[in-house]
Amino acid sequence: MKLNKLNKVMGAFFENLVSVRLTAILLFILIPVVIVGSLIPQGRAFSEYVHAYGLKTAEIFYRLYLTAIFQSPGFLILIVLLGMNVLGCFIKSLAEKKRSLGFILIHVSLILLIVGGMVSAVWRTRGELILEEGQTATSFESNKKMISLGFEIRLKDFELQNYENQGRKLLVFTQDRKKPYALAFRQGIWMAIPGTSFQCRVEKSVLDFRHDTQTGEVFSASGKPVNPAIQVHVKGKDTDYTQWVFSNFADFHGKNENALIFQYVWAPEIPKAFISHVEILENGEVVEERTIKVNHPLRYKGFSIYQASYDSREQKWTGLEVVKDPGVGIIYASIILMMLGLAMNIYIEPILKKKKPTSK
Amino acid sequence: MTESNLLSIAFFLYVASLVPYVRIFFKKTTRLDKVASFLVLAGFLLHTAALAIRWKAAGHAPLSNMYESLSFFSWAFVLAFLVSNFFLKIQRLGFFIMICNVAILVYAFAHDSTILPLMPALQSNWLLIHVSACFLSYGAFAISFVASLIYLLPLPKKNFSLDQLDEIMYKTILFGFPLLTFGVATGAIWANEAWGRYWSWDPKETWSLVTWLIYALYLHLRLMKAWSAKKLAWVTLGGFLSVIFTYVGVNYLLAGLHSYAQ
Repeated sequence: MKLNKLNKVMGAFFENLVSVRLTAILLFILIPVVIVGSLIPQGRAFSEYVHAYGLKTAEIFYRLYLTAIFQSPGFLILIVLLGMNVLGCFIKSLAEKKRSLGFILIHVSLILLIVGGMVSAVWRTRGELILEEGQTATSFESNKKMISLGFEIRLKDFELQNYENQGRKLLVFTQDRKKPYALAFRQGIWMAIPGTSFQCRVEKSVLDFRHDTQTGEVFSASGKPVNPAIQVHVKGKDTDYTQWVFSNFADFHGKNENALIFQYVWAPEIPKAFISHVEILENGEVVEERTIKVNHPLRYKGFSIYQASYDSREQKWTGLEVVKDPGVGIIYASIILMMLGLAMNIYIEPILKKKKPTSK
Repeated sequence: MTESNLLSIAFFLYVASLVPYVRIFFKKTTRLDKVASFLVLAGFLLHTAALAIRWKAAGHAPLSNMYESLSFFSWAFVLAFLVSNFFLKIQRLGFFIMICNVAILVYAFAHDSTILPLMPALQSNWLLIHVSACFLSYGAFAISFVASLIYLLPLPKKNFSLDQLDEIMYKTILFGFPLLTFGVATGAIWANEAWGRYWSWDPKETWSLVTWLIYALYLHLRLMKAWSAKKLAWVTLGGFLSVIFTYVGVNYLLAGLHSYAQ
């Protein structure tokens, strides 16, 4: 009797597990869970949640895993259940020989997608490398473990390319020329002014110039370009002075008695490319010279190395992200199968069915 | 002719099509059908030319900022209308579709149309593939949205069969779903090429998944035949609201990797 009951319960369980109804129920649960995960910032420090929502709410968020929903046991259970449901439907359809090739491909791809995601979650290694020009690295830290690259990578040079004729410019008028010299805007670097013995350096730049009359300090009142200005330091024979140059008020200083007249043209810089020129070394010998750009990672010995950040002030260092993810291949395979399956199921099979003469 | 002139003429043709479409909504007239179709088709061709000119001038697909994407969304919406009309005969939805389309273009005109060079993250062939696939699916979903609205609103239905509206919702979602899947999938591949992670739960990614899940739910519910067409129309409506939030809402309310979409 007991065995019969158990059989019935198990039968009902499996029947539900392979039902479209369970798929719909799981999707119903998954949708609000994912929405909550997008509305509450994920993976931040506890103090940030306290600051944003208050202590009590932050504690509730933590207890309910709302700050790391996509890594929570509840989310994992949902995904595993969905995977089992898809697998069950797939096996059932094979057993009953009911389903089309498109259906089979879609469901295999979904299973692969979940497997690929799990492989990535467990075996992916990822870490950051900050390299200064000339510096070499042989390993990186991932999940508090040092991972050896198996080769050396050295930063030869970091290059920031901006689009020409965009961005900030410093124009210099000299006494003997009506047309100004246009200097590329580089803060903190001495630039020679062509045709003169002078050189200049941009010491400071502010977007919204304010002057504290009591302390004499200059600061930016906001992060918006309301009143952009730069402080220029000029050096030459018997000359050494600094002056503020305003983008909106070119004639702010009135009649300028200096030999040089500056004009500051403010416009947002538009970067064209962030390029890390690197060398790959093995046994101390350079075996390859490569460049790493956004959208063009370096792949070497199973590692993919991405352009992630850079020294925005002096372009002396680069931030690279090193990744080894065995799940990527599975994910790509699942994408190909899913697209083939959807195309078959939705676009091709209905057309083929229509073309087939219907038997009476 | 400049891109802006062509787009303006296309806009006026779309607006002009509203006149015959009002009449068509209340009464089927073959003569006005042709006039309305001609106006929309002419507008669409000029719109296509405007996009092509901008593409040539910019040197990249016109999909890199809000103005360009809205213009492309409008184009995809009209394309979806023309294709759906060919297969499903949805001329009577024309008035509502063109009203929505005109609204999209008005919103586009409110944005800066200056052509700016591409930032490094967008310099990839995936820009065209990923973004165009997403917007072509949005175009199809927009048609299903209009059908669901007419289904749910207390409008005179003498010229519509509810079954026909249900069929339009189903067929357009069925057409758009693989395109959305392709759009999300190519986005994942692109993200892996650019940042080394195919999925990072960025708000745009997460909301595109929400949209995908809602339409997947719709298709499963319809397969089960357990839900009434009216309830399915509500799901369709929810799906398109999710599309809009993914496209516009996320840019302004949730910060993430897609911040250049503003």
